[in-house]
Amino acid sequence: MTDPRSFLPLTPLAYQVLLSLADADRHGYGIIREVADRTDGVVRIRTGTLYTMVQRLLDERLLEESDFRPAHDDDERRKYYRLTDLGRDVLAAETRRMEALIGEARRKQVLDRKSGA
Amino acid sequence: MPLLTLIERTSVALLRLAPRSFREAWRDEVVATVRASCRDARARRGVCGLAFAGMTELTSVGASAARARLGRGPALTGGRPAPPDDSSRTGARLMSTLVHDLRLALRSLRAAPVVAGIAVLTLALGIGVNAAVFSILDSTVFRPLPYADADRYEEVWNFESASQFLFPGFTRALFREWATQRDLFDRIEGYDITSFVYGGPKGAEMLTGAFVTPGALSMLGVPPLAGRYFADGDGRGGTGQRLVVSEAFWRDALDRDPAVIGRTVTLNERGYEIVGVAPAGLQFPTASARFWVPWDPTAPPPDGAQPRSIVMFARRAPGVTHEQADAQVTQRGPALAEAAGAPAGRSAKLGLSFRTVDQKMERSLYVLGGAVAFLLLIICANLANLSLSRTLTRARDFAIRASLGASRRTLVRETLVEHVIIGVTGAALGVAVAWLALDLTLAMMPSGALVRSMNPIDLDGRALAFTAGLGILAALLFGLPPAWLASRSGVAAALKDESRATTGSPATRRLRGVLVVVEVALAIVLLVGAALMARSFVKLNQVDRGFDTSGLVVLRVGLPANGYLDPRSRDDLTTALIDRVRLLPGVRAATAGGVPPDSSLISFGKLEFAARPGTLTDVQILPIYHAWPGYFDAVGIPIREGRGFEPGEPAESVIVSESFARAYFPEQNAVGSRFRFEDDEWRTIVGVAGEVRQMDLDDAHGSFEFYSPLQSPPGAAAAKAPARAEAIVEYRTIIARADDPSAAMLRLRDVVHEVDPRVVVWRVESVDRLFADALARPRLVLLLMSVFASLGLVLAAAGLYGVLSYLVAQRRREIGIRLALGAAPRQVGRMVLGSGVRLTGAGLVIGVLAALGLVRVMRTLLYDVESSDPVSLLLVVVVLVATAFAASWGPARRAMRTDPLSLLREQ
Repeated sequence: MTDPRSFLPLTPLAYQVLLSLADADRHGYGIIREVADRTDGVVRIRTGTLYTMVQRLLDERLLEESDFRPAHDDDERRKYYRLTDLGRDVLAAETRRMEALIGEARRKQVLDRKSGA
Repeated sequence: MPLLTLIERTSVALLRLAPRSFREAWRDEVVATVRASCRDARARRGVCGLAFAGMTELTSVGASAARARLGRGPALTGGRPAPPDDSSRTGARLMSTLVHDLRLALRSLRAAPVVAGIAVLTLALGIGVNAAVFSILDSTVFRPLPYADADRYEEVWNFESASQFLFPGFTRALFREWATQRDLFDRIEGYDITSFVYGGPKGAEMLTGAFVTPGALSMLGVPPLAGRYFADGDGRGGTGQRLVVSEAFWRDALDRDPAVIGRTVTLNERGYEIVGVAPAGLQFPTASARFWVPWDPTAPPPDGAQPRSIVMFARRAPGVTHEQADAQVTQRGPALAEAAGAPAGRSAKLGLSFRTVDQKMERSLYVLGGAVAFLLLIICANLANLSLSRTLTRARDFAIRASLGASRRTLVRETLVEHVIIGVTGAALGVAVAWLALDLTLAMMPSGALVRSMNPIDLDGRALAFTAGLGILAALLFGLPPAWLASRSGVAAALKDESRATTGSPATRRLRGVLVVVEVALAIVLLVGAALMARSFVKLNQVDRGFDTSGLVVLRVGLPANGYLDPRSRDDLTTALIDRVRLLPGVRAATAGGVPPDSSLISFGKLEFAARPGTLTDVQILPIYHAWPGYFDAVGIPIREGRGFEPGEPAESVIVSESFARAYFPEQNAVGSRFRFEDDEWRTIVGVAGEVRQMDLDDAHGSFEFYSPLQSPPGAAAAKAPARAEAIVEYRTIIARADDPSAAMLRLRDVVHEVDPRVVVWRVESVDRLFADALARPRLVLLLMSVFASLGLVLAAAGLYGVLSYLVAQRRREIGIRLALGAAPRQVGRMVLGSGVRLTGAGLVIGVLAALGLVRVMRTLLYDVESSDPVSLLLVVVVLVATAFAASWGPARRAMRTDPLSLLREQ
């Protein structure tokens, strides 16, 4: 069993892709849309980048293809992806790592300062 | 093509940069996602959004694919990179220099977006058409066949020494003689392309197939898609009827049946058991072969279908060169032919190389390749000019940077990087242009011109590599002059004399002049080529076909053995069909027989005339058309002397062409005379018909055609058992002249089946269409040449305009002073026009000389036009001078309107 912590820290792109699959199985463009919507368009993943990343994540067994198909899919050929147990563990581990980091930042009251002050 | 489709196709093309495994795993997904993303963008922001999304998506796909190829996908883990060791420091420094240069270049390009845009677009156009022509040439001419040991394949053909006539196809006896020549060839196989009647669920259909010797398919070294190829023992009597089908047949006719092996299909009313499926890449002997029937020449099946003759297809033994084989084949030919009982004077030669497309097509492709290369050179010259004018305005910038310590090398490198960016972007867009150009060209290509190409024609890795290389080469070509100039910028000179910096040095002016002269010269060569093709095409179109083709329709039918063994029953059917067709509304006349340019029989041999017994002519090649009574009236071929065929015409009657009569009976009336082919039956000339033109309109051969009666003579031998058990005993052609040919063509099929449903309709075609097909190649070459030449002309004109405009701008001050001192505006205008005329004149002289030398390669493509045709040359000169004048007019007028006062006030 691979130790989820061996993947830490995740790159922002990898984190976003894993996060987008945390609540639902999605196809490629679904991932792009979810990330764009959630971040108000600040993070915009392009097709080429997405699939090279998905390939990486599949190779590392953080993702797997899913049998899920919505009832009204317009394109049956699309592949859907979901997190593997390992992928879920890695996502949780990374989130915990960042949470700890943010906790430390809070203790030092980084967020209380007014910017430019 | 809609923009979205273009984007999708380009993304597929770009994915070729990625390793195969990645491409195969992700292609559909990537395309679907690009599509979804682009649709989304279009829905939200219209066409602009679509274009923008398309561009960013394509950049991302291309960049990611390239990174995947380099094994550098996006990082999963964001750990700190290992500290660089000493050896990588040089690399890092290089990288940072490159990044710096790139950033600088991008900034500089963004500063002049219009210039950069024009450069990228024209370059994309030039590179795209070059890539398209290259990929056609590559798959048809350059690349070897996609088979094992393809460079050792040869065909051995018959050679008629007296007439120098070379033709494929051996008799079984001759093939068996040749099959013993194992010292020359280590594999000796054969094939024969034949039509079969396929009894499919939708009714009888004519399909092309081939008889092959049992080892022919396995020799190609391409494993079957399913099942097996033939083996020793197949294709003999009693081995059952076996069949290998093509991937196309399996897909279209058998619906990709997974249980295809062992399935039975009906060909020529016999059942054949499928033993294998060949992959799509196996196109042997032509791309149209749908299936292969085994035939063993050493022990052919006593019943069943037989090839008419067998083309010998062999592999040279290792160590035997093509030249050695050719010499040996020529030397052994006569003895082997004699042993096989072939006619005297028969020998053999290596046939035309197995891979050649039609020779004229190949030559046409080379000419087009030359044309697009010239076009790209013109584009490069233009871009060099364009960037020179920009570099000049930046001379001061360069000078200051040099004075601040930038080395000459740095300045050259930065300029080059800027141009390579344009070149590479142009090449990337060029891929899209190439897709379009290839699609269009293949759609217009005459059917059959590329059937022997065997390699699929598409933008493969080689074509993409070629495109990328071209982009870089082009960038160097148009980037070097400005880079060279940047290296020469003298600090002191530039800073001392401000006016010098903006007028440019004499060296630059000379360089720009030379570039324009080169452009004009290249454009002239293109124009001369296009003009020659145009003149030739007009002449081809004006060729008198010898008869009125308007409204003429041919209907070719196959008469099944089942019911038409007796020749008289075929005549009865022909009569019934003619009578029935005549009743169709709008049909003015109907008859039967062969009609040009469609296939006639070809007969060749020595002729003997009854008036000069014992004297033989040289070997003649004569097309024969069979004709029904009333044929000449219906088709509109005039009878000059004698008469046409009548009902009950004896078989020996013959009608000859006017040129035949003139050549052999110069003094007397040919009618009533007799002649024969050596050792054949005597024929009596009953009439002389007007000339008609054959398939190859530009071919001088075949004007000696003659006509023979189609109808069986009264008292002809009744039902003869056919020599070969085939489904179709004879093909006949019904000819009709209709007011509305397309309407008549729609009805003809039904008419045939109303008369007899067993008769197979092979094809229905208008004669005008058949002649148009014969002109398809010259038309395509003409069209493409004209497009390239027009582009070349426009670009050369743009170059001239640019240089003259610049000249006027540079010399504004001088012009102003001249005008202030009393020079007439006309004189100033004349000065500018004079510069234009000088540049054009120099280009004209060089271009015409180059054209005279270069277009000689087009000689074989021209009909009745010399490659030094003065009319074409004159036409080109007139067009060019007029264009040059038009391009110079604007700058000259601007010079004439210079207001000296305002100019002096500026100072």
